[in-house]
Amino acid sequence: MTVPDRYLHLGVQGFEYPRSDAPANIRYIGTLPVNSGEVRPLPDWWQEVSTAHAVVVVSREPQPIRTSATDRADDGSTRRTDILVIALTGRPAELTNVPSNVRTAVFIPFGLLLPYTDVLVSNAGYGGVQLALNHGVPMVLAAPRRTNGSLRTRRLDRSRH
Amino acid sequence: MTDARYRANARRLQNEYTSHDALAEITAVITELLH
Repeated sequence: MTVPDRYLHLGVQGFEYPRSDAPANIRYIGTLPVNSGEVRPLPDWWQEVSTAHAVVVVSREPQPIRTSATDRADDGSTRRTDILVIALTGRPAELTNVPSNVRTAVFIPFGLLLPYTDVLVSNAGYGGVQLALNHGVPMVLAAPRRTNGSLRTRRLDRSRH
Repeated sequence: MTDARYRANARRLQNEYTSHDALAEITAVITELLH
């Protein structure tokens, strides 16, 4: 990392552990714009997002949500029907026993979704965490131990202080 | 950590993110290195 003239890091210094030995060529540049101009068809239920009392997004990146994982993640939603839960599955999935207040989609650009999101539930994928921080969206993060996701959850926990 | 302190720190992190314009900063670095 000391070889490049500049190392442009997607993120901010406040998210990183303090380092007295950080190479001088590192520059933090925040996040890239998420609206690429690409037009994707939005789900039929999209208008519900702007009128919902609260929106909870469940995203498991980069691995897709399995049916069983989605069922578990949405268990609590059956008790709060005023909350719209959006489960991003990552790939086409046949979900069963989906509660009435849960909507599913393979993918929705975070640039469109996060302005309406009250809570993001995620396995701490790097891009999602950075964008949620950029939009000021509270997160509930869970990742398997000894993975990049678990390192990010620990780093985020430290950066709160 | 209190809720108020948590929110203040979240705002501080968000402000740090929104203070950046990644594309402009990338462009500036390329320009700087080419000259």
